[in-house]
Amino acid sequence: MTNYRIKILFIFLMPLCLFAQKAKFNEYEVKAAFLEKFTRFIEWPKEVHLEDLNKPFIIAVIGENPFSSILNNMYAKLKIKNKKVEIRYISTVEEITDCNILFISESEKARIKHIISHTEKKPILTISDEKNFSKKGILITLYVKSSHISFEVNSNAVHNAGLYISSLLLNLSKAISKEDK
Amino acid sequence: MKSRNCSLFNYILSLIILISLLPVNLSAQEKTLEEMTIEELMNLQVKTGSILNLTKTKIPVSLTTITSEDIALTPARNIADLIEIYVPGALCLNHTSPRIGIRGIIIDRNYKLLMLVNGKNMNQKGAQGAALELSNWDLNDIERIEIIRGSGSVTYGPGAIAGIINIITKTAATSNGTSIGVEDNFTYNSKGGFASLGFSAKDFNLYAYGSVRFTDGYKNAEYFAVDQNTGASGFLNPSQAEGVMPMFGDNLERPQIKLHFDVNLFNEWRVWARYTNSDQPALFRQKMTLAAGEKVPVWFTGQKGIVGVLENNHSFSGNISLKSNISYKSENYYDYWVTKPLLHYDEGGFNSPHGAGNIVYDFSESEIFLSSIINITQKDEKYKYALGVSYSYNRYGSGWGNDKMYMLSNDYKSPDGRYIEDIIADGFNTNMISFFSECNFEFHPLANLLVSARMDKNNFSKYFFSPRIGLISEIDKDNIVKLIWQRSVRMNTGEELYKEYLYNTKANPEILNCFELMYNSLPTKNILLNISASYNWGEMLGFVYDPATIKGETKPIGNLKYFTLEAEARYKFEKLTFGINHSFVKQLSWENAAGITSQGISYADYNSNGLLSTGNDLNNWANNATKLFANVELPCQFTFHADGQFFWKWNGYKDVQLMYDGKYGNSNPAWKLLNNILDDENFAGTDVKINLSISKYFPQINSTVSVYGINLLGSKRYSYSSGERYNYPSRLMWVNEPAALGIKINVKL
Repeated sequence: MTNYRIKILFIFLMPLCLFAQKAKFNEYEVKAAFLEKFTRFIEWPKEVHLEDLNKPFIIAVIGENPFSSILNNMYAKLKIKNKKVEIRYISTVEEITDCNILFISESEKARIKHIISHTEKKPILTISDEKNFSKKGILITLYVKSSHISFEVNSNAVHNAGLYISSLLLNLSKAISKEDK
Repeated sequence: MKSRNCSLFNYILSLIILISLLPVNLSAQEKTLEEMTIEELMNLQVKTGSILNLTKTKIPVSLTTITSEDIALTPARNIADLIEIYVPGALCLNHTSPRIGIRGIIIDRNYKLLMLVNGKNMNQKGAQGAALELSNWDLNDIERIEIIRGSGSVTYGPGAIAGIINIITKTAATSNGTSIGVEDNFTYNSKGGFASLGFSAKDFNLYAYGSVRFTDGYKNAEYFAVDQNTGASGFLNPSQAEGVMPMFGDNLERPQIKLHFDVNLFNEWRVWARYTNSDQPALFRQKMTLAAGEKVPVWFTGQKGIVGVLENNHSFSGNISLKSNISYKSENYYDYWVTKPLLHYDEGGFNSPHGAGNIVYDFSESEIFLSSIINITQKDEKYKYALGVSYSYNRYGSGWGNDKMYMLSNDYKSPDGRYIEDIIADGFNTNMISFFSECNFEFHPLANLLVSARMDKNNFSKYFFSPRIGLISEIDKDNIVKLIWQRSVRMNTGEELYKEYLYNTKANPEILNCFELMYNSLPTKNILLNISASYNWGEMLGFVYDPATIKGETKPIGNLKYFTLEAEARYKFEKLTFGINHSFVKQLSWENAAGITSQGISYADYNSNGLLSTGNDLNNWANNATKLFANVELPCQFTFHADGQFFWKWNGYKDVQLMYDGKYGNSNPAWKLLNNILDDENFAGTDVKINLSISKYFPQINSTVSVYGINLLGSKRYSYSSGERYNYPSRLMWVNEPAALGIKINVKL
């Protein structure tokens, strides 16, 4: 057997250590779906006027967009609170203004305090997948544990934002309270 | 031999087609994500996410990412500038077009780099390597640029000895809506504009982009040159009758145009197409009066190319996915070096390219490329595996719109005495097949083993094998240590492979071996530290011309050993982003191959025309490079950007002065005079480049206006030197680049 054939064999033999397992989705496909599920358990204050169906429900992503085109695809038809969904990709805090959900990318580590100073006490559901953000005042943090998505809720921050969160959602989450701060 | 290759290619093609036709979904989910309950979502297994979808900190490479935000704020003319500003140690020298050096590796063509667009290899395989994209002055369609320093052939393809430049373009997801912009660089008299549209709907995303840029070039640049026979030197004089070529002016008033179109369907299929051109030379000479009386630059060069790619990314089940693509690429490259004023130029090229002494390239390269990579991930992501195969068919023929192909210099004849161009007037074809595989075993967070390998075979080459072994140790979430050994093999250019076929030889490929130790750390939430040390060794190839046989070909020219150290820190706080990096590259040894007496890599082993071995450093390289940048958000929506590059210890260039001192001592007045001029001009002294910009965002009209200054202190830009072998050091050329000012306005509608 010639040298190159041995090398080809080497390349092809590497997979023998693997075992096929059951189906999995892409992490960010599932996280995108979570956004809509959360809204079913959360009430926004009346002054947000979510009942106005002429205005879209706005999801903004600040920083590097980890979703690629997933959000656009998923929410092209999927409605939230019976409203059309508008996806915005933003880079400055000034663009946050009228969004309903703000997804804060991991890339925003350095200016997380700056972002929160623009969102706290405003009825904006802040969500991130950077675990260290939850204690900084992010309302919901998504994280991967053993290849499954879990989330934790910062109930104090939810209260400060003027949002009402269902106990059903709290029961499914890991709660972050004052003691965890 | 031919039939064996043929059957192998047929076999692989069949394999690719077979894989592509596998059933679309082996394990359909009963419910879509939208239909699932929150509990069902929580019970789903997910795959987290490169060939193996490793997170960036765990990739066994030294990576620099230049984001669209960096691009928007940075005063850069083109991608070459951006690389020089942000990539530790990287520098740019002039030749026919910009030449990029990364980690000490630089040559008179960019074929030791891989240029990718959205992962697709855009290198000109025929002769020049990374040419297309590098010189275009429009950067508004780029989402980010990922630059891998050092060899990376194993993952990205047989050419990545020096590094990889991967341009990721914007898509509807990252640039939704309509944007327009205009820019005017006053100093280079360069004006242009762009428009883009991003549209998203259910299962459909569209991004379309177009730009045009007209550049007259800077007409008063100072080009320093030395006469190789007399030693006379000085700056070329623009006021002379013929004038000097404008710096970065568009040849024949051909503007730079860029068009890009990207459609994503069902989040699984993607079709994108792109056209780019640049007709700007980066080597400057006195103009010449042709026989017809026309005053023309003596060097024309440019390229244009179009690519169309169909990609499919399919997940059969959560742990098996297949990425496939098929693409067509065609590129037209031309490079006319007119040394005899006998010619007349028209749109079809010079009408007499065989004029003695005129070096002419004008050819097209068309490629059909197929690739499939299957990714398999085991439960808990402890084991991951990827296996890929690709096939490319390349056709080298006459330039677009021409009826003849000019590829090899007409200085060189084939063994039977005919000019090479005559032989390849009808063009030639190459076929290449590649296999690649990567396996990741995460035994423990402290012990993550990554084994990768790649094999490439061109129908004119031997089999090339590039392996890599990486040990990645995650000390904790914020500290990662990586130890890598890799052997990177470079496939020769189509031109050289074809010569080997003509001369009935099969040269060994260029191989670079590397041990690299990397440490990535996040000591605080706001600081990122990267440190990398590498030891590199290998046999370098270079162009060798034998006057006795009138043959020139790429051969081994010597053995190189060198060491690199790079340290990088980034600090990001609320309104301030600051970065600093330093690169130190030191040649440890250089030994000429048998029969080689001169070359462009180092003067450490040299014996040509009385010029003897001097020093132990890389030629065309600054041993030290320190780079800084800062972005500051100011009140009233202003953002300030500053960056600076300091290149020092150009020891290889200094060796030229020492070498000629060794030859002449004080006995040669012409050399003495030239040597003094070089000292007065601070030749090979510390080179400093400073760029600044200030931008203001107007939220009411969603617009940003930026005013910028490039190279504000003025600095030298050296030309690539292929070594000295004449009475006087004629390769010591540079241009004093001007300080340039410009403005750009971008509006998101």
